[in-house]
Amino acid sequence: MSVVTIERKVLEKNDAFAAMNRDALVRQGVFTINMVSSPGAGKTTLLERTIAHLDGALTLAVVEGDVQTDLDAQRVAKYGVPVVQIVTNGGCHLEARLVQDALSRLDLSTTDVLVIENVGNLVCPANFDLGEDLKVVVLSVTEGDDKPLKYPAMFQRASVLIINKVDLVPYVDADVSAIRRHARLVNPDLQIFETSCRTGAGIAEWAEWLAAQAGRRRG
Amino acid sequence: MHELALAQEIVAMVGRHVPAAQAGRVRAVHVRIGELAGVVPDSLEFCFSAVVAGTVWEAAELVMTRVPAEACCLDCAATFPTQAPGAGCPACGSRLVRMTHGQELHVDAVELADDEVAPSVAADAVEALV
Repeated sequence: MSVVTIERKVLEKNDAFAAMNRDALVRQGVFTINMVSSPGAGKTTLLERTIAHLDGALTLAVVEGDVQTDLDAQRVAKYGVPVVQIVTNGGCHLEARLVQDALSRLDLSTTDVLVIENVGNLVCPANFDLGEDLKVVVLSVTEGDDKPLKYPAMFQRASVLIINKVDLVPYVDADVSAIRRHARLVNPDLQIFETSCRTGAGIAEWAEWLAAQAGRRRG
Repeated sequence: MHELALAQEIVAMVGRHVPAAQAGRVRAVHVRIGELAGVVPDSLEFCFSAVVAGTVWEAAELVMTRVPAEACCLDCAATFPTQAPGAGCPACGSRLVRMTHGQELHVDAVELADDEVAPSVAADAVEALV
């Protein structure tokens, strides 16, 4: 019996593609976010509101990841934003190589902000770096305030938490302060926003924060 | 669910370190999985056996070592087991703590037997996996 020592990260290949993506994006001055959440938390609607708010001020591009259909890409395309749909055909997360293919179909030189909307899943996408500047995790108030504790990996790796659908708070007995407390327990550095795509509450604050990050990149 | 993707990566990585001609000697693949790595051990084991079945790697078994989640206090240097670093240091109460273990996802080593299990597929089929 002999032993071959390997001692490598399982995801080193994905990480290498992610590093290539990051390099290409940063070099062209693109600020990139990877939006993650469970299905139905409101990522696409939030993205639509964000695009509408930033219209004209910034040039956005979108990569949509879904298990099936290009419904989300159709929604985003209505805003006149360049969008590439990745259909994973059952895959539960996006991988850096898929995103690299998508990037080749976008004009990055004219893009200020790239939004990668990941597959709706609060578990698997946490492991796969795509080359983004930061992860934005969206949690709707209907999902329960225990989710940051139950799915800590995603909240630990995210830099921003958007608590969405806050207009529903009175109807679902949601405790937003408990969501905040639990999220900060697993990640004290989280930047937290509260939004409602229905009433528009909080959209401006979030969108302008995003614009400021992108502005810093462009200098 | 992403355990299948991880299992494929693990087998591909073994393929990059063990010459295809010796694939039949691989008996064990040792991996280190952190408690907070978001990996379900049973699922990874199941996916690994599915990936190697009917390939030159089919004699290989996945051996997992779980790494407990651990944090280190940046103020008093105490190390302590935790799944929630925000809860602070149990020794001095400081909130300046950093996760040191628990997110590992590593392939450590493979064990090669002296004898070879005759592969049920041609060695060049390995190329497709690597």
